[in-house]
Amino acid sequence: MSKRYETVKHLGEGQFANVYLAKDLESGEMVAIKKIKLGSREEAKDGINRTAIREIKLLKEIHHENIITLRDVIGHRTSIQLVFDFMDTDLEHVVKDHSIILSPAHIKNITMQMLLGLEFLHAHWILHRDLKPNNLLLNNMGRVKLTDFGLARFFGSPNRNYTHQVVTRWYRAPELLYGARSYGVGIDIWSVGCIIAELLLRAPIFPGESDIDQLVKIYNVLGCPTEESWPTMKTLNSYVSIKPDSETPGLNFIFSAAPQDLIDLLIGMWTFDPVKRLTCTQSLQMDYFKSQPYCCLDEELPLPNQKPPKRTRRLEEDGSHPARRLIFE
Amino acid sequence: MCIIWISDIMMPRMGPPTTARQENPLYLSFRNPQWPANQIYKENALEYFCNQANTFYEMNSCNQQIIMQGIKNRTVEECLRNMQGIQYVLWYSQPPLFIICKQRRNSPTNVSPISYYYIISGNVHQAPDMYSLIQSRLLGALEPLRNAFGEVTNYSRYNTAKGYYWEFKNKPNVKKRDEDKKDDEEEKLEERSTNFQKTRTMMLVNQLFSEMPADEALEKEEVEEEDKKPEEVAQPAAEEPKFAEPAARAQTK
Repeated sequence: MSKRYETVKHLGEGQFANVYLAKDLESGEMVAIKKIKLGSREEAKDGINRTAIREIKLLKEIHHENIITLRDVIGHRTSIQLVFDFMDTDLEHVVKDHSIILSPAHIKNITMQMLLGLEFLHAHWILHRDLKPNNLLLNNMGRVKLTDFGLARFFGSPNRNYTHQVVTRWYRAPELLYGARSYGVGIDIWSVGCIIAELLLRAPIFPGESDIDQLVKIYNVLGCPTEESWPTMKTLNSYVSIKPDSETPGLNFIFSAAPQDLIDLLIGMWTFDPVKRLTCTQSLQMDYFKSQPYCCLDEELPLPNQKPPKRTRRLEEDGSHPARRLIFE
Repeated sequence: MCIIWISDIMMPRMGPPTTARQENPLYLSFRNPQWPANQIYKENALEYFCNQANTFYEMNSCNQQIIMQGIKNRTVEECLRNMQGIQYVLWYSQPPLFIICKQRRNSPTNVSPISYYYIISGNVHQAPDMYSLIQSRLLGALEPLRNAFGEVTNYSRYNTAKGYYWEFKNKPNVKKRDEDKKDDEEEKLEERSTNFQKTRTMMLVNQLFSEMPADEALEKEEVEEEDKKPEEVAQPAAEEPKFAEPAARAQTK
């Protein structure tokens, strides 16, 4: 560790890295330090792994309020450490914490912050390729930031093919499931749609157990794509025709408390044909963001683990506990 | 105010009120045919009300937000306390009657009621507002009165020598017709409720009695009874006050 940062505690371990909470001694701010694992000697011989390189390369160039800031890179002998803003939690924790109820204004705020960050990425020809609640961080100021650029890359070169094995399966767009090699911003937008749905339902909307099951789950909700709605569907590498299990109940039924303008946004984001699918900029111009209830303030967004302040309040109200403590201490 | 109401009622309805009537929530009701009315309890009355098909239920209410988000680790009431917006809560329960309150919550401590709904034997109705209630009652009272005036004016005559006078030519016919009508109405009254309904209603009435003790209602009863036999009271009325004391009335009997 560099002298500038003082490690506070170990936060977690990922596939390629360990994450530590640290204090920036120069500014006094809390930061997160991602220490890249170098692995075995054979791996290290070829240099550090690709995800870390991608992350450094891209993040060095982009600065936006809704994208995690790479503050510093420390190369120290055999290790590489990336210094990021410290974020209190991520959306996965928010979604899973059922002591929180997300109001329509909360959901609108989170959706807008997500789209603003993603719009910036797409405008700079970067695909995130791994959007999921786990990769959307939230700090105690209510700011949402995209993170984990391990799969992100530049797009737009027409003769370059990309792998379709990207994006966590539940958030993967149908063209990727059919093995598309040339794709665009649509795959990120599809994921955003899935994340909005997860905020509304507090559970993943398409929890597929395999790639085929994933398509079935999608078609059970949205109906099957037709020749009209997605003309190029059959030209994809691993196209298979799938019949849905049952009749679709309709989005209005699934998102029973959602207003119609939000349903329209989801329909736009889940358009089967990637060419017709909404872009970030188009999404941000939808009626959903122009209607009441408007976005709440950032600081009004709920955080999990908000219980400690309540407990202290209870003690104060009760009065008996502090008094007893005084006597015994 | 009163005058305005009456004139409002007396005015013949010119426009086609049919569409307006369909929109008026007081003419609407909801019933879930899949849910037997005797299976509604205090615990699930709100659940019965929170049905997508219920016209009185707003789908973007806090209640539906909770249902959509599948929050089950706390009671609905607990969740609603920390939410803002349109909410439905169980206000009163005495099977077979349940009252649901639709309210707007602005903060955990500030709530403003919007309307109330009755669930009685599985039927959901909106509780009428005071204006509609009084209007309806006034209309019910004034309509026969107006008809009576109309009838009576047919028999009033004017003559320069006599002035105004009454002339009843077909008097017996009218009486007969009235009697016929009365008989019909009485028969209908008997059929109006089944024994089952009566016992159910008695439960509610008894509940109301226990909540509002009879002492307070005593004076009202007396007045009604006096009205029924005005001739008996008429003779000693010169000495006594109009609203007789119970003891005084015993003497007259």
